[in-house]
Formats: sequence, structure tokens, C-alpha cells
Amino acid sequence: MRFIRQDAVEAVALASAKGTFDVAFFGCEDLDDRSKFSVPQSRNLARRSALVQYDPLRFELKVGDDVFREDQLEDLPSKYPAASIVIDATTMEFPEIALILRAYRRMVPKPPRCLFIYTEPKEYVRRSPEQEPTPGSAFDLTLTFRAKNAIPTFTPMLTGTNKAHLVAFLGFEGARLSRVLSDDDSTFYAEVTVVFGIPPFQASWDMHALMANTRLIEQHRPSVRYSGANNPRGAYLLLKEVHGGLRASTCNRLAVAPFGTKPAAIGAALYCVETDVIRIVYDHPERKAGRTRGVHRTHWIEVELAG
Amino acid sequence: MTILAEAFLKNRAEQLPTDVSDQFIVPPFFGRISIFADTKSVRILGGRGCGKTMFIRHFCHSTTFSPSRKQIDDGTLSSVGLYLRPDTGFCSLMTSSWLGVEESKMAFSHYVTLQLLAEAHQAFVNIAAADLAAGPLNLLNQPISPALSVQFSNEVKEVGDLGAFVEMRLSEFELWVRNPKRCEQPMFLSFASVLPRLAEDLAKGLTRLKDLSFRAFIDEFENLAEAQRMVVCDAIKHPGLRLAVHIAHKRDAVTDFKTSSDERIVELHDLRKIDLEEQLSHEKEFELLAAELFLLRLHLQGVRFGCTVFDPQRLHDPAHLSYRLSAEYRSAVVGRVREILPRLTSIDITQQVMNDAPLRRRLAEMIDKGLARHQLKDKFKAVDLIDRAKPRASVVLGALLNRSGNPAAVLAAFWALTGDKASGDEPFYKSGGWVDNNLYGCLFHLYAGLPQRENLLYAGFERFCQLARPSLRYFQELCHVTLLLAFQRADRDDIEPVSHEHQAQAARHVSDAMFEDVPQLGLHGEKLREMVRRLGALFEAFNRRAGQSEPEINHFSIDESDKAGLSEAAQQILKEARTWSVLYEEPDTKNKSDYDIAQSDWVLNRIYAPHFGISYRKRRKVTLKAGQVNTILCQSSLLFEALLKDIVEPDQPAQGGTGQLF
Repeated sequence: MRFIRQDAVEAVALASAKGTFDVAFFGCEDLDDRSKFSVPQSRNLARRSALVQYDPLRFELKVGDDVFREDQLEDLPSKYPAASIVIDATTMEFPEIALILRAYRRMVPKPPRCLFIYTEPKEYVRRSPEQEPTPGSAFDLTLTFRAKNAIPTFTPMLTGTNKAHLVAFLGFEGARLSRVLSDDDSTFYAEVTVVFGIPPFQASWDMHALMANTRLIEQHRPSVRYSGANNPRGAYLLLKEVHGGLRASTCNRLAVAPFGTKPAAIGAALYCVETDVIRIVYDHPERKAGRTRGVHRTHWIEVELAG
Repeated sequence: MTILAEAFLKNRAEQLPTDVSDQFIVPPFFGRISIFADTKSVRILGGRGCGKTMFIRHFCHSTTFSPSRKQIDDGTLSSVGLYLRPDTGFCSLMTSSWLGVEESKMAFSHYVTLQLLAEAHQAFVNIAAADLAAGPLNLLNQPISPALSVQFSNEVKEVGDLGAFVEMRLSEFELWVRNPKRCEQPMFLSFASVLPRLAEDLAKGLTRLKDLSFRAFIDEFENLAEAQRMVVCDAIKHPGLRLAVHIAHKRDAVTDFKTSSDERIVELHDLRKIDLEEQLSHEKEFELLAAELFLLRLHLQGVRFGCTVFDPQRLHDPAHLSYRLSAEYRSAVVGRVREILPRLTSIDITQQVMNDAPLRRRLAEMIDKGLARHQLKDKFKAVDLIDRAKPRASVVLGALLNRSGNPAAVLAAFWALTGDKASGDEPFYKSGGWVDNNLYGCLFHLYAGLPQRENLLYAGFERFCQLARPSLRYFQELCHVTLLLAFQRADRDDIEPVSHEHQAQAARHVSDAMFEDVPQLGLHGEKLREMVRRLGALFEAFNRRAGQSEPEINHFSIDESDKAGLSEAAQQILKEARTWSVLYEEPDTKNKSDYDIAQSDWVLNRIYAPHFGISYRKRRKVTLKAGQVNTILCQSSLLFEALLKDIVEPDQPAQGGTGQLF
């Protein structure tokens, strides 16, 4: 697997690449301004496209009209054969990205070229002052967290003698990781590293993430690292570094909580698929409609899955 | 180097060791509950921070056979505690939709079996190294019966082989669970038969082990899927002499204990209950435990505090409980901590109001407002009605003048007072009089107008206990921040009394932080935060009313006749709030009418009181209609604001203590 290209692209450039990919996968289009922008762009890039939704209770990936159990993902590339795929990372959630990647990386003889399209919003919607927002809940992004259900492929068992070093990419919702760590009470996550997206997409956004997670740092005192908000490769390499440093002790597994920016989640998904031994910690948020406003830059992130 | 302020730091982020023999303080209620007297199962209830895991670990093998224990009696072998905290993420894969209906249940039982066997193996390792009174006991080379060996695919010949066997089987099992279609299904084991048989084999082999039995503690029971809970309940329903299964979960998080045959586990008949939060709610006992914890932390940090009756070694053994429960011991230990964390009485704080310019000015404004209300401003001046010789009456007068009745009698009674104490049947100081009923409320009201001023009503060891009870974690947080504010990073091995201001400041800091942490509480944490915010805003608004006709309102009840109107969403939030100890449901103690006799009180966790500047004392409540509760818990901010205005208009004439606000 190697990173080929990462650029900010204009709509014109995207339009000129129309139909140059085989299949495009995308998520919910009607979520906010940027999803309404991004999905048509991604679809336009490919000759065929399909809506992707993951059901964490049934462990099924719905792609177009087809439903694939997670242990039957090998059927996906045969239904959607492709030498090149587009993943609309703006709208697809982490499990969807990771499972699509896994299907095309590990279940085909020749993995395809893979393009991620990610569109930044102009702004995230804040809670109103009457709601007395605290730093950890300053933004109104999620309706509810649906389930703590694990993703089978990415859920190795943890035990007293097989504990994990948890690397968590953090965003604006401070409670997400705190919830995981408080529930765990240091039982299975023996070491914790948190990663902030610095440099951020926009000036001051890093401060939002830092403020949102101040309590967490105070309470759990994790190691703190930084990786560019817009840098999937940085996230990938950071995980590789931490993974390589795991000692042959009881803390011998790596876990990843992709609660940060989408480019960081892309890097994490790529590393998880590449290694196939990592535990993913995810809480399946149900995104709130209108959670962001406006459309800012669009990123073209291209990788070669083969190799 | 001894950083005094770090005395409470260590255990906050540190992983709890499996051997808690030098950390567990035998709680005062220990003698009152009949724990594990027979093989009947026990359900241990407790929310976050009440010490549930520590309590369980006290009964498990690492503590029972700890290297720090000397001359351990062989009687301990009759109940070897095994601890299982399931990896709930992994367990969430063992569902019918992923593995199939029957397979998922058998898989879960297999998982529990392997985990408990690993624990049993570790227990035998600990026993082999333990200082047993009857001499060493190495079980690792004990043979197991051919019948049991068959279950282990003939790979285990003696007890010592169990460790490697379990490791191998867990590895195979993990692969199969993640890839059920690709890997071969393992041969499932059932803990309900394997563990008793293992104990039986060992009991037959060695006389010292004739009474050997296991007691398995399954923690986080509420986070298991319903079908998995059934598997555990089956074992509870049919206990054996060699294996008892105990469970631990948060209060109210599990209410239905179905077995797979649709029978139900019945309390008393099938299992006993130990509700740790309920036990820790006893005021005096919590105070003692908190005081001991305070001194133990200082002791472990190498800080001298001068309390000769306090002996850390006596905290860990139930044999010393009667010593610790003696009046002399209690008085010395609690008394010493009270000296370190002193408090001001309400009389002292009233004196502060007289001497502190901003508070005194605020009282004057309150009185002024009352005078204006009765068109008496040209006759009297507020400053003349604040009398240093009768400070409590002066403070209470502020509220009384803001009520709708004729103030003449109040003023006459005030002027008739000769000092700051009761004399005869006058209405201010008599028992149950105006001062008794209103002083605290008035003080909270005065402080509420000065948010930058530390509210001294939150300072003091007893008040810390009131704010924290039943959570020892909250108590430790309060102490940690107090010591940090008072001593910063000073390197010292002694301690002196902490100022009231530092304690009050710490109470507010901790309360703010705990409020900020509410979203962490489960998947609906954000909803709980909004609920806490709204209830806090409601009680805060009551506290802002200058008339204080119903002072110190900090809990609510739901009109019983109307309870059916409570929406499903509201009930769900109330349930979550109870599970996470954000609200406590307590029996109604102050019913004012006959028809709502079955009501319960919903008490906001007192740790949030300083954040909202409200009282932590359970004195008065507001009775809400179901529709109003629905609005508070589930509807939009706009509707809530409208409701708030409707319920509490801060400057409206008060209703003269009717208690029926709606």
C-alpha cells in the first residue's frame, strides 16, 4: 500500500475527471451542505456508484441493493469489480470505509487504485448559549450513539494478558473517548495515546479539539501526539510507529479509536486493513442533519492498495 | 520528596491491582450483610465510584492468597474467588445475528469457561506461593480425572497444564468468533459443568481441598447481551456446592433476570442483593469511611497528621471492625479530619455576612426590595434593619419582607428581639421558627448573587461528605482539589487545617468538572447533561426568589395521579439517570397531601449543587406534572424556558409556603 497523491482540488478539476474510475461508494447525501456537494462529485468520477451503509447490529454492509455479511465481503468485489474505486469519505463512516477497503485490499488478487474524496465544511454548528455548552460539548454534531457493537473483522479479543495500547484520534466531541476510558477503567486499555489534528483545517479548530478534551487529559493523563488534521499518511505512520513499539508485555495489542478528522480516519482505516490485527473502538454515531454549514476545500487523496 | 497535594492523585488514574489487600478498607457495613455464607448467589449493585470493583477484588484469589498475608487459614480454600470482567466489545460479537442463536449462547458459555479456567489456574499459582498456616500447598501437579481431561481434548493431564491449554483455546476461539464462516467451530465447554468438576477432582485428590469450591464474580453484567445474561442466570438458578456465580452491575441497569428456560431469578430465593450505594448512604458510616480513606491516603503519601488511634493495618481486616466502630475511635478519626477540613456553622456564616461588605450589601438590597414591595422604603432604611446583634434574624428578615403578607408583624417581632437566640415563643428563633426554616435558603440566595465569591456553605468535611455520598470517588476528587489549592506543590510531610475558602473553591471546581463529565455517562450522556442543566436551572431559579417561601428546593417528585402521562422517552432518560447515579430515586419523605402517597423523590446528585449554587440538603421539593417532566427531559430549549418562566417567576409574590406551586 502506498500513498500516491494528495491535493486540494477545484470542482472544475473534478468535473474533468468524470467517469475515470470504475466504481464510486458514497454515504448519506442529505446530511449537510458539504454532503450535497461531495456525493455528486464522487459519483460523477465513476462509471458506476453505490450507496454504502453499515448495520452494526446485524454486522452487515449494505452496498446498493446488496447486503453482505461481514464475513462474506469477498462477494463484494465480484459484484462490483473494479480496477479503480472512489470512496466518498465526506459521507462514509469509518466502518464503511474500513470494510470497503478490506474487501478490495485483502479479497481480490489485484487490489485497485483507490481515491478518497473529502470535502471540508466552512463551519461546524455550535450549541446555543442557552444550552450552557461546556468545552466538551460545544458543537451539536450527533443525534445519538447507536451501539457499542464491535466490528468483527477488527475486534481481536482483549484479556488480562492481552491488553491494548489505545491510540485515539480526537475531534470536537470530548465525551466519546472519555466514555470508552471510563467504562474500561484501565482494564483492557493499559496505555493510551491521544492524537490531535494539528495543524488544523482552519485556524482555531485545533483549540476546539484541545478544549473539548481537556478534562480527558486531566483525568486519564494519556500521551499526547499531533498529526495534521488533513494528513492521512501522518496518521498511518503514527500508528505504524506505535504498533512497532509495542513491547512483548501484557500490553501487546494495538487499538484505534478514529474519533478525529476524516483524513485521520482514512489513515487509520488503511493501517488497520493493512495489518489486520488491530482493534477498532467505535461508537457508531448517528450524525445530526445540518451539523455543518457551507462547503470549503475538497481533497483528492489517492492510494495504491496493492503491494 | 513528599508532594502533599498528590496524596489523592495516585489512585485516580492508576489501574487497580488484582491484589487489593493493602488498599481495601473494610467498610463499616461489612458486619451487617451476610456475605457468601452459603452457595447462594449474590448480586452486587453499585454505580461508578462507589468502590464496587475494589469490593469484589477483596474476595478474589489475588487478595485472599496475597503474598502480604501471613498464616492464611485453609478455610479460605472453601471459596476461591475468581474474577471475570468480560471484554464487552468482543462479547458483542457473540450474538444470534453473527453466530446463530444456539451457537452464540454456547460460544459465550465457552468464553466464560476459558476465562474462569485461566483465573482458576492463576489462583492455584497464588495458592502455591501463599503462606498457608497448614503448610505449603502445590496444586499445580495434581492430576485431573480422565473424564475431565476428555473435555480438555486430553491436552490437560495435571492442573499446571491448564494455563497453556486455555491460552491456545482462547486463541482458536477468537479466530472463530471473528470469522465464523471460515474457521472451524471449537468444541464448546460449559463453565457450569467444567468448574465444579475441576473442584471435585481436586477435592477427591487432597483432603485439605475437600471443601474446595469456586465463587465466580462476573462484573459489568449489565453490558452483556440479554442472551448472555440468560446463560449466567441459568447457572445462578441451579447453584452447585462447588461453584457459585455472583454478578455485579450498576443499580437499575438490569431489572429482568430471565433464564434460558424463561424462568426468572428471584431475589431472596435465588440470590441475595448487596447494594453498595445504599449501604454507603448511611451518613455516619460514610463519614467514618471517608475520614479513614483521607487519613490512609495521607499516610501512604508519608504525611504526618497526628491521630494515634488510627492504624492503617487495621483497616484491611474485618477482625478489626469492632475496634473501628467504637465511639472513641470514630470520634478521634472523624474529629481529626474535621480539624483538617473545618467548616463554618450557619451562625458563623451569618456573621460573615455581617462583616463582608459585598454580602452585607446584597442583604441590604434584598431587604430594600422587600421594603419597596410594601411601599415602606420611605419609612425604613435597609441598613437599619441589619443588626449585628441579631445577624440570623437580619438575614431571614430579607426573605420575610419579600413575601406578600403584611410585614408589620414580622418587623414588630424583629424589633422585639434582644439578641441572636431564642427567648420564649417568639417566631424567629423558636424551634421550627423562621430562622430554622429559612436561614440556609437565605444564605444560598445571598451567595447566588455573588458568583465570584466562594460559597462557604460548601466547605467542611461533613459537607464534602454530603456532596459526595455515596461516591468515594467524588470525595477523593474534592480532597484532591482542596489539597492542590491549599498546598499547591509544596514539599512537606505534615498538614495543617485548610481554609474554608479553598475548600469552597474546590467544591465548585469539582462540581463544574463533574457537570462537564456528564456526557461521558453512557451512550445517552448528552441527554443526561441537558437534563442536569435544566433541573439545575429550575432549582437555581427557585433559589433566586428573594421571598424564599420554599427555600432549598433541590429535588422533585412526579404527581402520582398523573404519572401515566410520562412519555416513554422521559422514562428512558430517568432510567439512564438512575443507572448512572445522576438522579437518585428515594422514598418520599415530605408528602404534603394524601393522594400522592406513593410518590418517590427524584434527587439530583448533590455533587452538582455547587455548580448551580443550590442547597445540598434534602429539605424541599417541587411536585411536577408528568407533562412538565416530559418538557424538562425531552423537549426543546424554547419550551423548557417557557416552562421555567411559568413555574418560577423569581420576583413574583410568593405563595406563602403552601408548597403547591402548580
